[in-house]
Amino acid sequence: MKNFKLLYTVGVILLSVLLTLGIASLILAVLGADVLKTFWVIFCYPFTTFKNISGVINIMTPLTLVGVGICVAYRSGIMNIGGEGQMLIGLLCAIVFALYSGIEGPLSIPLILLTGMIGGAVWGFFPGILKSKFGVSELLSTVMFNYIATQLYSYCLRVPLLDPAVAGGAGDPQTVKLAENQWLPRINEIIENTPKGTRFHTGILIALVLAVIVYLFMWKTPVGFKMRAAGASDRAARYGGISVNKYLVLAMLVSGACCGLAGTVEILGVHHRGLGNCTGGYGFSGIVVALFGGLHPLGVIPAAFFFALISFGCSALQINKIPVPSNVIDVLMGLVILVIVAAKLIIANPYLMDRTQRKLQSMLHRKEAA
Amino acid sequence: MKKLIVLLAAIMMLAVSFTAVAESVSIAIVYPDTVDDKGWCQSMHMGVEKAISMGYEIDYTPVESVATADAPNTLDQLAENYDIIICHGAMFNTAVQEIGPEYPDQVWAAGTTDQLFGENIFTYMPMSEEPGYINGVIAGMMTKANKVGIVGSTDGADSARYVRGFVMGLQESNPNAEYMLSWTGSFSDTVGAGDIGNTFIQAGCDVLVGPAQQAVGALRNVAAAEGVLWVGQTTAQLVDFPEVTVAAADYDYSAVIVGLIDRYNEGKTGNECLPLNYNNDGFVYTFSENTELLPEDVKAAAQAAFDKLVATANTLDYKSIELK
Repeated sequence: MKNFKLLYTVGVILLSVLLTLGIASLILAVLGADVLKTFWVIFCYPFTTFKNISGVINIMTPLTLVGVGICVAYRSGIMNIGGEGQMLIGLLCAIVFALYSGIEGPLSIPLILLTGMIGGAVWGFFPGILKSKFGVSELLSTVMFNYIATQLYSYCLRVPLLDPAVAGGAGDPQTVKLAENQWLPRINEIIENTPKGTRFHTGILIALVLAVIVYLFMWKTPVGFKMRAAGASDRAARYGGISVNKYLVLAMLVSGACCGLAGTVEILGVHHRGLGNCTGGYGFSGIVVALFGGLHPLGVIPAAFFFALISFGCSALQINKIPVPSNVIDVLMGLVILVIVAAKLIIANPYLMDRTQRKLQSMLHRKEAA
Repeated sequence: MKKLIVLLAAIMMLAVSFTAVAESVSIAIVYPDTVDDKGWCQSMHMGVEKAISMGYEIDYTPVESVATADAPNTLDQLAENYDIIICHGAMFNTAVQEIGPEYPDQVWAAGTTDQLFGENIFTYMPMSEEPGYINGVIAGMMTKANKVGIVGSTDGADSARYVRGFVMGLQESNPNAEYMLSWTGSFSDTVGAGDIGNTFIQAGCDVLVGPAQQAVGALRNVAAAEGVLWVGQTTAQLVDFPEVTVAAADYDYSAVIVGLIDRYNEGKTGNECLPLNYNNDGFVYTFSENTELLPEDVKAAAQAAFDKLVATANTLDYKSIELK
């Protein structure tokens, strides 16, 4: 039984893939859809044109940023479910700063991004301090702060920041557009002769750099070590003289800042103005991305890419005239994600692997004896 | 000679219109919800089906449940593959304005707005204050408690016009009637609408209304309550909840679809807003056939309001209404 771990891992992955394909095929067959074409669209179509790859990267960008933020919180022993609210407050602060500060020129983009980070960090700070000072469950407080952020954003969009052009029912509530020199440059503005529709922006570079910085911070600095120690075992950390409460708050500040940055990047890179529902639920899907990426900032990068790929592929089903209702597309996406996360947990469980190994060994022994 | 010329001209016009109908046009419509949402999206979907039944050959692709954040990606993929791409929801306006001009060979349409978006983009705007007004007249006459509940979606686009039109009709038909108004903040939040509807019923409102597809959540609670009536914004509500829905307005988006195809065939590409109102059959209005539910005098008053709107389109000063 040499290399059993490899065999076990490959086996679990193969079984997961077969299970996913089996269930999804059954659903698609019942709906009368072309099963092979459906899988082709989900997994291969995103790679067929540069425009599609560009779309995948644009989805990947906020997922990476949120995922990295969630990693910091989880690694430090606090569960941040408030990514969505932190995104909203971050982008709200960024929009207000961009519209009313009057700042222009090369410094404007970094300053707007910084404002977004501060907004997200402040929104992360409250659940952090509530947890550390009063023991309020972060699950409860972060979810509640999401609601507050949603309503606050909605109010600002409809009253103080409302674009006069859509007032009185002329359109959906939105803010005015940001000045063009405040937008994140797109790749087709930097590189000449890129194919039409190349829409991804430099936000992806910010996301990748942030993932590396957070990795270095968490794994290569004393502060990061203390944060991870607090997350691994708060009692042991306290015994070691680490102020766990302080690092909980710090973790939420960093986590919120990452999420706030994600929201700001979406506004500066994609929408260029405040819109309703412009976060796209990335604040929540970023949690799954973080878990799928092994709660490691660098692991988040491929995880976000894979999630973006699935998301893009599934949304392309209708465009490719595959007769799958949009609700079933969500089911398919959820199924793929569920099986992958389950497979990952099974692979990471040493007891399960040990049990499987022993069972296989006893089977082989019995066979040999027979 | 004159008669001959007129006859020839009539034959030519018929031939042109026949050609226009016979040519197949590929249309993709981006929806914020599903096409069976008993509201906003279903109305447009039914409009396409009606246009097809009128003889227009349409290669139709519905793209359902597109989130605002995903709209740019979706529009990018649709571009270059369809003759006309319709973005059915004001939440997509920003994406259309940005992506539409990048694909000048496609005809784009965006609703709802009365603004003009560019050379290759049409816009369309339902004058929803008109059905709102008729519903307000009915609600004012039907309420016994003089308390009416409005389950709003968002205070924007045609939803904002509908609510203001409703308040106008309500105040004109019954100056003593009070209204309670709350917004879910979403066009599709049926759960939130259900909660608001329930609160209004508990507060004593005996007539409820609500725009957009979210309203069906409140309608379910109205159907479950005793002595509470609903004035609907889509005829599907009249069919599905006949015991409480006294009347229903509905969009007839075939006017937009037909208008777009005709313009496309004529070589027009955009920079025009297509209005929907009672005057151009952009709306239909249906009364409940149950006379116990809808008294004749109320029906007559609503019919009079309807006739007034047909005769004098776009004259309701809904902007003068300041909501509570």
